[in-house]
Amino acid sequence: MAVFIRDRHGELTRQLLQMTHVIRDRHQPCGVILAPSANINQQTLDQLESFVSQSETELAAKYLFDDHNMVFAMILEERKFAATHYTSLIVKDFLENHGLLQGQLVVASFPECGEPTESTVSQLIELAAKARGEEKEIRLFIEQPAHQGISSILIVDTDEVVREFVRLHLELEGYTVYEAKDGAEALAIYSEAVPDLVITELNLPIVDGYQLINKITKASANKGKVIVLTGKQLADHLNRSFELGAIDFVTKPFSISELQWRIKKLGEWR
Amino acid sequence: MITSTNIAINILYVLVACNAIFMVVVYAMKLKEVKTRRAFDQFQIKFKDYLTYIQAHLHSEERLRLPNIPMSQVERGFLQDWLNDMIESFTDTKQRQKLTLLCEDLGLIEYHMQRLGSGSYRAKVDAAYHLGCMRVGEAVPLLLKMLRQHKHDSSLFVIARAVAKCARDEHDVKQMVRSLLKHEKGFHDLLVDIIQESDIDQFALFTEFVQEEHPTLIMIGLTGLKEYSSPGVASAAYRLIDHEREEIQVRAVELYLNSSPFFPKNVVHKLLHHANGEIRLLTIQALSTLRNESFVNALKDSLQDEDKRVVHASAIALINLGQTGISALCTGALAYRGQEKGEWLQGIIEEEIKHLSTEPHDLDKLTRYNALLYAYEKTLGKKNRIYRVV
Repeated sequence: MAVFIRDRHGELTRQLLQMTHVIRDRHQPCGVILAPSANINQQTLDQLESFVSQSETELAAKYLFDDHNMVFAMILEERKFAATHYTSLIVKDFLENHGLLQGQLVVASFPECGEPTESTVSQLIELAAKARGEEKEIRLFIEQPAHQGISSILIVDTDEVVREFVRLHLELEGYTVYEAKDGAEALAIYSEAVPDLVITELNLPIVDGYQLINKITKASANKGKVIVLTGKQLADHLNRSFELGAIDFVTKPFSISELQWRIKKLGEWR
Repeated sequence: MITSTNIAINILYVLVACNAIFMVVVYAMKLKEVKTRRAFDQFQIKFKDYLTYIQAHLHSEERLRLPNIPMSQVERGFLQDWLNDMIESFTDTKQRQKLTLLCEDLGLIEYHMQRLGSGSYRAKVDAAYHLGCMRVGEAVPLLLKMLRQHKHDSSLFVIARAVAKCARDEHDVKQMVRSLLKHEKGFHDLLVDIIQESDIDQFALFTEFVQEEHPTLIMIGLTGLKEYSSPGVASAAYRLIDHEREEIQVRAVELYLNSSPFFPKNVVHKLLHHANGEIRLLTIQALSTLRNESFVNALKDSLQDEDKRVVHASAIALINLGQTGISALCTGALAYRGQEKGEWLQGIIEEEIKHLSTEPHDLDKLTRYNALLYAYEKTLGKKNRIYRVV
């Protein structure tokens, strides 16, 4: 169902809250996609609905456009986070091809990403409105409790796949994440951002992992700022890392859940 | 008339032509690499959202879906490489299975199975590598057939690794190992590394290999068991201490010393009187790390060993034991006074005194220094002190 709403202040929040609560009362998950866009009329909304239903034949969704905030919204019934994220790819494709997308899409699913309270929904809409003018990406929204001890992390690895994967999962956990592809870049970012934790590979160009651990340990009053995440598995590498001041040692291939758990525990000990 | 100048000029022409050809080839290769890199970068930009979708939902229960936009053959290849990296980077079996299911939905498994069955040799090896990454159990019979017929070169191990990754049970891995045994090139360390890629009960397999008669299988078993510590491992290794092959003896003793929770005196006695000097040395090194005073006499007896490496290791082990060990070492050195061995032992002690004197900030070393100096002066009667640290 495509609904065109002429929004007064707070109308979209009320609509979203009402719809998400109806779905929640049926004990079903509810997906939400929001995007800052150019002016969308009823006809375009109908076109979008038809475009999405070509790939998502069983999708039951409501399409809204708030012309006050210039935000497009979509509410998906019985859609968990993964399915909502996938639908957002199709929506993004349509909006981009029609020149309507004007910033980041924000994607969430309740209750997986949090409870659909008034403050959460307002936060979502605010995020979408603020995302205008930013790079046209998809931003995943998950409500996170504040972390103890560690809030920012620098990940240093030459492998782009590992870097991106770790960054994405830590960001979903609510951490601010910086990336570096070699030791020299890591030191530059470290001196500028001073993250609470560094996760590093040992095998790095320019400044290797050991030198990096040594420099960070010397530069920091707080010991135990470095977790080693490496493909090197010999006991010598482990011993040397600990001698230089690393707090933990994880070998590749690794489990992201285990790494997240270790970071959480480290934060609790601080 | 052919002159030597003409010959030299002709050779120069040939060299210049060769250089030009090589430059063209290198330039073409470089261009191809740049083109591939650019195409991969474009793929990453075009499919960035989809790749993020895969990474973000590896934990979810829902099956991963196919890209929402059409893909070319080249892009499909890039996605395959990217998925291979993802599969190899994570230990979580559930995540691996999800990615493998996605590969199946993308038609990648079917494509590589076809190449493995009917492609050129190069395509077959490439398909074997990809099927291995995707852990395709159905590929094992074809991979084993290929392995049996394969000559001994580096591709052999690509196929063997693929079998290990795809192995459905122990039987598949055993067949792979037996196929490789016919080459007999002493690559047991590499074979252990390959076996460790499989999802089977590796401990059971290595234990079984240790009980085999084939020496390479025994070596694979002993090397693989290094990762485990249990009394069962120690007793399996102990049975091989007197094996007819020296390399097996050494590997078995190494394993025994690493995995045994304690060393019975009769076993230590047996190892210290073993005909193989390497074994005696390994035993002394293990006793040295234990720092157990009950082995002082055994270590002192080893000062009589004919192998200088064993004597040196025994002397250091005695020094590390503290007062009792140091006294035993000085008494042992005194017994050889006037002989070459006595001078040498005295040299070891003096060297250690000199070394310890440089680290007075370390309390443990300072204590050992004082004890060693005291025992040395008392027993060997040197009047001139070498160093004194307060």
